[in-house]
Amino acid sequence: MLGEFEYLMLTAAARLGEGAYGVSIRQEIESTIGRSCSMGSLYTTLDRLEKKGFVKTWLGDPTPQRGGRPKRMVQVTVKGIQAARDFYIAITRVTRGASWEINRIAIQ
Amino acid sequence: MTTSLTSRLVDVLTEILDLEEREIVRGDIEESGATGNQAAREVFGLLVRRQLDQWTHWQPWITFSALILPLAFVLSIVSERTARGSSVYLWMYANNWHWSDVQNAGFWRVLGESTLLVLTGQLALVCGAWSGGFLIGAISRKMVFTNSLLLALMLLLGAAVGAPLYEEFYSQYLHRSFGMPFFPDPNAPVFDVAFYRQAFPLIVQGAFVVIPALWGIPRGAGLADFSRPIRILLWTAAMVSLTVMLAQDQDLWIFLRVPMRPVFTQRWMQLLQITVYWPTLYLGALAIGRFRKTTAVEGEYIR
Repeated sequence: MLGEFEYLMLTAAARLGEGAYGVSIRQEIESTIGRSCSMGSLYTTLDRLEKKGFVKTWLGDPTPQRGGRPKRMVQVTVKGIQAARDFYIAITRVTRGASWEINRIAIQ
Repeated sequence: MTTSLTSRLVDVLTEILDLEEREIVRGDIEESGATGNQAAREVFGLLVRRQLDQWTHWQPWITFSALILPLAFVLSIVSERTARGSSVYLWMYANNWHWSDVQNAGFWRVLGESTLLVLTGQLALVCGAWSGGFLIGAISRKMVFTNSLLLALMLLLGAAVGAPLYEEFYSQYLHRSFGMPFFPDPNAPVFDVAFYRQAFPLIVQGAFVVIPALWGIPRGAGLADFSRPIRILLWTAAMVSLTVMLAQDQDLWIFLRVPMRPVFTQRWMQLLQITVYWPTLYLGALAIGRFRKTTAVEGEYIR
């Protein structure tokens, strides 16, 4: 089972597709949920996800705006997609009927 | 000023990371346009998480309990004894100086002998501490930052609490096990002076143990860059020198109730004692290698 932050990272990386790397994932998480994401939590979570086989990372080409330094590129694996889907389904199911469920709030 | 200071701090902190991650992190900082303070905070956070993460494995616990803790204890005791020995000579000259003595030929001979004795003792202590740091760095490359902090802390505790407590225990042990009477300290006048009793052991511990040990840790962490035969040679040198340092101390033999003198008067053992000074050879060879490389590059450039 994924943790909350692991799920956020997997989702951000999946949304970014080929453009998923350290800085872009951070920006995606921060702009989507409005929560700051530190470099420490980003890279330690990324390591954990890689160890579990949910993402694959490799060194990207160096770019001038990074002072000629490489990026850590990220790709969600099939196993990662499955884990994210399971997490989403579990969260959706467990939320059904809860007072904060979106549809329920709308009805009330 | 602040920016350049924090930028320097960021450089120093990122140096602790693995080479690959260091480049990625520096690139991220550059791309995100973080200020010096933000970058320092971010890198420090990453570093702390990386180090804490290591403690979920068993290796750091073994390194701490089987190497850092006993090493800090032994080094603190050796340091305390070296400081006491050096204090006597220092007190003899600094607190009892008479200009008339310099006319005496015997004075210079004794001064030369005692200086040599003090310097070799201090150098052996520096080398032993450096070797200990080297081993810690070689065993646990990813924990350089935390292990340095832990070793410094343990050495501090060792000097302040461990070594004095041990000396007390040791004299009690000698008294109880061998019926040795408590003789009055012949060097009591030296240690009546607060400086020699309190400050000097801490100075010796700081300058000749903590600094060399912390210097040795990153050197040991860089051991993987050498070829296998050199790695084996350096490992052996560090292990042998620490063993010799431990064996030189009579306490171990007294606890084991084995007479030490027959072993230490043997020529091979005396030769083995030279290995304690191996870091001077190693660092000298490194410095020469670096100098040759620099002059070769400069020669290429001029051509």
